[in-house]
Amino acid sequence: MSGSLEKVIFICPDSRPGLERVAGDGPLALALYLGKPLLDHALDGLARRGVKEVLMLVSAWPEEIRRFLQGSHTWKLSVRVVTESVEPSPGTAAEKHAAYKAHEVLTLDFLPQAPGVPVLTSLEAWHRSRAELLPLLAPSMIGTQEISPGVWTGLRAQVDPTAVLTAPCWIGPAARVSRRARVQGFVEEGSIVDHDAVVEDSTVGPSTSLGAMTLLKTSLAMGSHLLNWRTGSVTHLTDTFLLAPLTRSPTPSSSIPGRVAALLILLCTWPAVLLLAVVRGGSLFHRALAAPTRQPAGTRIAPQGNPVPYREIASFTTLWRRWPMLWNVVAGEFAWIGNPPLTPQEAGSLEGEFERRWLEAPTGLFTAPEAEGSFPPWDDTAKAHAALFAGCADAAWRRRILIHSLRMLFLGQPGIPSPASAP
Amino acid sequence: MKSPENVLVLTAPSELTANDASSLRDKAKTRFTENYTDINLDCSHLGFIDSSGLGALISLQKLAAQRSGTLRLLKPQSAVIQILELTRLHRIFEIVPG
Repeated sequence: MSGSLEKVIFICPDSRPGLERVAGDGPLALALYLGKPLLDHALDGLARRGVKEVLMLVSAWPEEIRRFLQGSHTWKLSVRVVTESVEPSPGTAAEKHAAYKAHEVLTLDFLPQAPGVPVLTSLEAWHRSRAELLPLLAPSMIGTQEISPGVWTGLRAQVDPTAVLTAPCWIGPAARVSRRARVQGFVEEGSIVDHDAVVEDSTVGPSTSLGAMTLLKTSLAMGSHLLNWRTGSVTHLTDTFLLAPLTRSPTPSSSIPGRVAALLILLCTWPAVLLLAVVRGGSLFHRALAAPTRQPAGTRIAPQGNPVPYREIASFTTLWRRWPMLWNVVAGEFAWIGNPPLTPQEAGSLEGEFERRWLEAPTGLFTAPEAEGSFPPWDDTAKAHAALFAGCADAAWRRRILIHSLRMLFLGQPGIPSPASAP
Repeated sequence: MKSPENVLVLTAPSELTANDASSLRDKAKTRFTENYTDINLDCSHLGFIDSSGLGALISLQKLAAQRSGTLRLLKPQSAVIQILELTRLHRIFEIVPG
């Protein structure tokens, strides 16, 4: 042994054409691949090659990557994460970080275990690389077993005795293959292949249910989406008996005590509020739609919902106009404290990851941008308030928003224009 | 590569909050004369930034972008980098580590 540390620069992918659905609402590096996040396999491969130090360059989802790296130290690697605004090429990375004196610059497009097998270069590579990498990756995973040549099962995988598995085949952890199903392909963690279904040269993505008597051929089934790796076509299936995500429903935006409090306030105040609204005249309610909240990465819950209808009192100009939205809090659709509602059109016009961060916090009655003094039309500072609230709304900030909002409510400060007046 | 005379160099205060955001914005607007395209903001002393401060940085970025330039944040501390990452603003600004 020379005693010198082997150092590599490792570039995490930003995105890859055709693999958007594979990544979902999270980093592509953490997409499940043969039972583990792809990055997990890569770090395992680096450690096995004797690498000791890694400078990891991350452009997309750096905090999720950091969280993932903090969760485990099984690779015995020293990993330092450096954020980049865009994914650098290997040449640019080597030049920019020349002082690091890396022995090699690697990307996640190829796993260190098999540098000649592309994994992320296309949808086809994402599927087909599994056949070559399965015998290299599976033996090192806890609980996997080769039940016949080229057929591997993960921890707690359930295969009915009447099911037929043909190599290359991977049945991931906690996946289930029902009676008379036939699988020649890859079934990822927590998925179900129902009875008499056929998987042929295909991948069933994580937490996906393939319905009974369904034929899946040269495709990837990801939740309710069918991606043909040969043609690149994407089909969204609405018939859950054919294909469906096995994800739990989105959690309510407000807690049970918060919802009860909203109901009590509605019951106690409705005569006074409605009387005042009627006295003021004009149309009573303004109806609007709020864009659905996006679930943050890693939650593995349904990423998108439908726009949420809500009402405001048209004749009120203060925060009281949001009084009917208390019902949305009761229903668990909105939170007491969150980001202002955006119409689906406004949400569609948000550009880039920074602006879209707005939608990762629940829609609220009392909101961060308004408490900080921003009102429609929303400018960059309002977007910064919303993005930061979505990223790190601590108890102190929530308390400050509540106090500011109550002050606005009871001192009758105007400044909440109707959504119709916002651009 | 931009020549140094095209780069306006500013220094961020130790805290960039609602109180200081508008003064930084105003200072940049006043000093960003026609010969400049880029803005380098020395963040080595910046220990805390809030959402109003982030709004000021976006204004500076837009100011530079109007002349096809860029905003570079020089030597930001880890707490500031964390905020930039949480808001995904690391994708918009060029961060030059210390």
